[in-house]
Amino acid sequence: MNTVFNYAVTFASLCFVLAMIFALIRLFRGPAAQDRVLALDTLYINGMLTLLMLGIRSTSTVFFDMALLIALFGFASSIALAKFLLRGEVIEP
Amino acid sequence: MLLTLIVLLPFLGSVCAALLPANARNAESWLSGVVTVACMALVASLYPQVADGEVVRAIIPWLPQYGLTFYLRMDGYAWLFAMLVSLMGALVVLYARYYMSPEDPVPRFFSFLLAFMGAMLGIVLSGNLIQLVVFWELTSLTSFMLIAYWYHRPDARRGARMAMTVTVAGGLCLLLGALMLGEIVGSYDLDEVLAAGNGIREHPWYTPVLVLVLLGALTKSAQFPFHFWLPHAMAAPTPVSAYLHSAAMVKAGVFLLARLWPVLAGTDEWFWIVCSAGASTLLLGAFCATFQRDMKGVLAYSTISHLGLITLLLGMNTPLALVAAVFHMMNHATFKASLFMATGIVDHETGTRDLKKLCGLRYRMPVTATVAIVAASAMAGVPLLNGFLSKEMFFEESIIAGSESGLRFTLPAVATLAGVFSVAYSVRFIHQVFFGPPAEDLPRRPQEPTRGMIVPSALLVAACLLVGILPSRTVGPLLETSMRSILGPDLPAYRLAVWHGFTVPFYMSLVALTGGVALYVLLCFRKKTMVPTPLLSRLDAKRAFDVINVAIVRGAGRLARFLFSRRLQTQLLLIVLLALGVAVLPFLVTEWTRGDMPLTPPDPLFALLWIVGAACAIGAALQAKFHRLAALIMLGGAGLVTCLTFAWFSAPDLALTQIAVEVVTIVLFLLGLRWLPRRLAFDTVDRQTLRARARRTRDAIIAVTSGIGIAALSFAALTRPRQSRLAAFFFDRSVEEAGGRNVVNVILVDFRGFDTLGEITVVGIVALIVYALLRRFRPAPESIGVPRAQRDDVLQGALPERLDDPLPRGYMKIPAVLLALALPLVRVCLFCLLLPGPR
Amino acid sequence: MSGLLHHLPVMPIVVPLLAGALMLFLSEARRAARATIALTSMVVQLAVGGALLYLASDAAPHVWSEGIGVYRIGNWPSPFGIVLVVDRLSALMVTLGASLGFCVLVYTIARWDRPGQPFHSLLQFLMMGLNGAFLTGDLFNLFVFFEVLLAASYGLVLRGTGATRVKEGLHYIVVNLVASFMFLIGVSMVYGIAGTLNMAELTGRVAALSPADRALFDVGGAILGIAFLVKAGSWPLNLWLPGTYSVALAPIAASFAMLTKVGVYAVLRVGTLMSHDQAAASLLGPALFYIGLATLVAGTIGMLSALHLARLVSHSLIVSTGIMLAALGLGIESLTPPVLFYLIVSVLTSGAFFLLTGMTERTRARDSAIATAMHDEPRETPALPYYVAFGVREPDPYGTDEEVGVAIPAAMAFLGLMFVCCVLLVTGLPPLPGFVAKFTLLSTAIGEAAAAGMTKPVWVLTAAVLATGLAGAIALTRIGMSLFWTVTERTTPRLHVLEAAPVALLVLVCLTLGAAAGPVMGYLESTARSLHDPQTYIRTVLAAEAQLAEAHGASP
Repeated sequence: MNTVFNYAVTFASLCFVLAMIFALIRLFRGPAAQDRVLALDTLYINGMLTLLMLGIRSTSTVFFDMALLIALFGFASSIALAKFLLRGEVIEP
Repeated sequence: MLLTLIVLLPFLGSVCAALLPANARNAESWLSGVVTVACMALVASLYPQVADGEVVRAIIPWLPQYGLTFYLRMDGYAWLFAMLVSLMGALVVLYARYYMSPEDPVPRFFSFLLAFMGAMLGIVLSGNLIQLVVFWELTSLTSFMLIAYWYHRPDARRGARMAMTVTVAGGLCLLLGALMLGEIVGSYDLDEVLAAGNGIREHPWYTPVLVLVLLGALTKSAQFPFHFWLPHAMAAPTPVSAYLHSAAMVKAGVFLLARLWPVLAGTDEWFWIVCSAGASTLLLGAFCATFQRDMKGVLAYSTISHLGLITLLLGMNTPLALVAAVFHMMNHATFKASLFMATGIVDHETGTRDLKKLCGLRYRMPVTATVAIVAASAMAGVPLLNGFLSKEMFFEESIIAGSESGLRFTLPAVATLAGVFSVAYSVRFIHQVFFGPPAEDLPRRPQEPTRGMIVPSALLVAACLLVGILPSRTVGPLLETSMRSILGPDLPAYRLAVWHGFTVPFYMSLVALTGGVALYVLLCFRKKTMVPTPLLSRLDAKRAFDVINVAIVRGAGRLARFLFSRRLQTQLLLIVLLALGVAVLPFLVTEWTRGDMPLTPPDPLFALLWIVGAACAIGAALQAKFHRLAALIMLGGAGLVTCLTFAWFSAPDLALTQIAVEVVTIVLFLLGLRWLPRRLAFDTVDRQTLRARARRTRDAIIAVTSGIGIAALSFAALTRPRQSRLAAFFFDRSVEEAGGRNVVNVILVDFRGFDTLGEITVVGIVALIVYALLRRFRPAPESIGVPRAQRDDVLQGALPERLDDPLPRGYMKIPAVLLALALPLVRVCLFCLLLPGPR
Repeated sequence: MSGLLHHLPVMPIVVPLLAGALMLFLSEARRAARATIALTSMVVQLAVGGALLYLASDAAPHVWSEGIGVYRIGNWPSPFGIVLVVDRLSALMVTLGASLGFCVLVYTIARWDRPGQPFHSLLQFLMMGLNGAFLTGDLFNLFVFFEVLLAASYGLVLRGTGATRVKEGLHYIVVNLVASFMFLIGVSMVYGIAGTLNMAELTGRVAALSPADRALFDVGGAILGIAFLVKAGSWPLNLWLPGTYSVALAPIAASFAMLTKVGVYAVLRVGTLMSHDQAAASLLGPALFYIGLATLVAGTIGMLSALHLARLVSHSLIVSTGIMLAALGLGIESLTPPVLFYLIVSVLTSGAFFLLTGMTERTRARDSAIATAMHDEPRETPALPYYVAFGVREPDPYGTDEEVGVAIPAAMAFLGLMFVCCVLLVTGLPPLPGFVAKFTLLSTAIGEAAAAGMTKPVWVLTAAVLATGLAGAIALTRIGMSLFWTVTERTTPRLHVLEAAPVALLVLVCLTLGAAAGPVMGYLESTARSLHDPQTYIRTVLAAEAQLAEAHGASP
């Protein structure tokens, strides 16, 4: 693997982590609950992408499985939060 | 064998009695009568053996390792008491048959009476100290049930509790004393204990043992300062009072003192403690008895006083005093039981025991009057009655003991003074009840009772007379046998005779008799016979007991509220603090060191990731109380970072598990969030008070410390080189024997598959509970309002107003569709992971 | 060795698991079928317990040499796989648990199990967790079984109605989760330092640790100890206990009487395995003594303050823990048999007593029954969402729709008699076996005090034990009088035979134990001997390893 690619991957990882930090700030500041939910969603997506970068760096396929599942689960939790915000209950009788 | 039967028979009878129907008064009496008479006959049949100086024994091993055998042992002294107990039992049963009214539930009465008798026989026949304590406490319990027989009466309940509290407490002291005594001797066996007198008296534990045993004996025998329970125990039915509180149970204490006399007596401690307790009780009891209004009250205090007399005799440290004490125990039992029965008759026939109301009963109840007069004379110590003999001996011993101990005048003076009072209350008892003009305003019209009630009393009075007139022919040999079994060859020469000549004791008796009559006349003259007891009326044991009881409950309640806080926070704080404390403890001795494994170089990206995670975690902790939803979302962020960390260090399985757990956690929390209070403003509510701020600071410090501590521990543990041979084993065997390449998986499903089974069970159980909770753990729909989020939508017109109406078409359609698509995908992915299994 | 006999040690875990799982498939209506399954499972457990008791007593040395049975799960050699180890103590605890479980089950069949579908399953899982915890020879496995029994108990404690019950139940859950967390930390520390989870192997490893490692190991052990002490209910880690136990439904509280003893068992098991290492013993001993003493005192005060029977019994449970811990903390080996005897009596008694509370509550008038459910707090305004956890309403004692079943005659007399027996047992007053337990305890302690000269703690303990007996008697008399002897507002309850019989059975078992105290004590003495000489245990558990390694080496 060449150096440029290596740098690119590292740079991308850095960006994703920075994005996570910014999302974190939103998560803390809010102001609305909806903002926080979206911040968490962003956190999840960027986390997943960081993981992908890690996979590219170490040329391992295991990380791709995991990334997929993180994406799915992240989505599921966002949905749950969204439903809570809309309906006040997650599972309705 | 016979001995075992003697003790067992009453208990068997007690069980049978309990099973009889409630109104079978005659069957109960016959049963009890047969049992008591059989016991008496059995005891009597053993007399020849005992009289020969033999000790009859019966041993059944129970807990031999700990020196606890069921050991019955009858020597002369035990025989005397066994006879007394069973004889009195028989008479009381006869008496009770006629005393108890048909409405009373007699099975309970006779059942407990027989059980009490069994326990009492157990005490006197015990050959093992611990077994003695067992029966001792058993008498306390049965007496509790008997005193509270009419449990609807508050005074009965109170009296029963008072008696039980005092005597059980004493019994526990006695238990400790017996344990220590057994330790000193090396055995609880009474034979060995009695043989080890010198060793015990010289042992450093002697004083504590003495005090403990005395506490047991003095509480049981109602000695000052534990005397107060006895008058209140008079709430019991009269047969019970006659049996337990004059003849049998209260004698257990003095019985024990005499039993252990060869072992414990003979020292200064013994003399001073026992004598002072005895003398003060003697005076106090006699003094109080003079001013009681209730007939049974007079008898109760007089019993206390006579028990004090016996205790005083026991404390004098001379064998002759011991003889006098035992003799007086017998005498007191006969005349006092008889008096109690007479009181019961009066109560039964007139409906009152109030000395103020009763008057002139001798006209209507001449036989009862005669019996009572003779018995009371015995109590007063009138010549030709048994009371006179033992009192005479008492006076004599008080002179001897007084001159030996330097109390030359005090002791005889105390004895005479008590004699004066004793005569005074005896005279008063008789005079006010049976003499004077016939009373008019009695609840019932008095008449002579049925023969069944008068016969037991009369028999006892006959015994008083017989013993009083012909002491050496009647009671002489019995007393001799019993004293020989206690004192052995040291038995001093003594003479039971009515007439000893004009000796000092005789003058003392004379003084007591005349002084007593004079005192009574004086009191009558000054109309002071009915006032509440002078000087002592303010000391009301009843009220004190109640006050103390309430104080205990209140105080304990206050303390318990402090000790057992109902707040969850307090509990968690304590757990964490304690864990922190014990974790720090070992490092006070040894220094904390990290292991010597090389560290991996830090990665800035990873560090940044962790900053995100840590910030989320702290944020979640900060907001947990105020904005729960935000805290929950932050928790999700922290979980994500944890998951990424696992992935980073190439533990994909863990990462997957973690992410799944995260999502489930969020969903479950959301379920619960619905029921929690809405958000509080972070800055306004809790920060105002200084206390709240201090509390939060404290919590923060503890949290940070614990976190640092855990981190330090894990760091120290993880940097240490692996010493385990497990890992090597797992790597070696996993392919070859377990047939899997992924070692972690093999460990999970094979090497430690059992753990996994357990954890799956846990998950299953939790799922079961959550399911049940979700299904049922809901308020009824009509009792709660609509969630706020829905209400807002209703206001904005996005939702129909009524809950039952169907939601608009397409409401939240996109997430529904997406999830419907995504969830099968998740399933497939998981299945793919599952398929290869450990391979 | 025949097959069934060989698999005997795992039966107490497998049987309830299967029974519990099976019952989940039965619909709610099939009460009889579920009751049958549950009863069968309990009887099997009891029988297996008895068999284990017999085998462990060294009566059949051809089956288990030296009376210690080792069952290797998956046949992996000992320190690598998980082992179940049956010695006298574990056999005893299994039998004890099964006896109590059986009585509780019979009691619940009377009427308490009606609507709550998972109740029987949860009870079976509870039994599984208990048995597993007693049988396992592996520290992490112990944790797993703790989790199993705790998870089941969470479900059980939430049964019934009322805001107080839900509140106390949630407290219980939270506290025990924290304790489990501590347990986990402790286990991982122990594993991280000593490198093994097998309790038998651990002992040897600890002795070989360097001082620095040793300190870390001690931290792990200490945190583990905290977890055990929370379970055992020792003050000040038991603030949740009186509340939770006194508001739980009577049969559930009765089955929980065993749970606190798991903590004591763990202290005893792990403690004795470590105790031949002097440093650990000297660190643990005094602390345990003082904790036990504090527990005893706190429990006694609690008893005196209690206004309701169930709360009083909960406090008496605390007292019993205190006595056991304090006695163990004295570090006198000969005290172990009395402590074990006390443990047995205490479990059976508290079980019977809790069951009894379920019936005595019915003697009160309706209002006071509700007040009892609300506990001695001032009546709270009921939280608006009226929780119906699990939909179980308390069996209505006043309803006329009594199920078929035979009511026993002379209900009040029976209750009174049982109450008196329980009081005597709890307070240790003669002549019932509670006294035997206390007597043997005190006499041994005093004997040792005279011999060894370490007198002060012994006297303190002695005084405390006697005083707590007196306090218990005073408190129980007070409550008993108000229960049985207040004339007004009392309804004579109808008692179901199925409810009365378990209580009577438990009391009878206690009485039998007392009458046969000699042989029982003999068994307990050999139990204690093998506990305090763990070499046999270690040798047997690890010998299997050597044997198997040889076999493995030879076979390929």
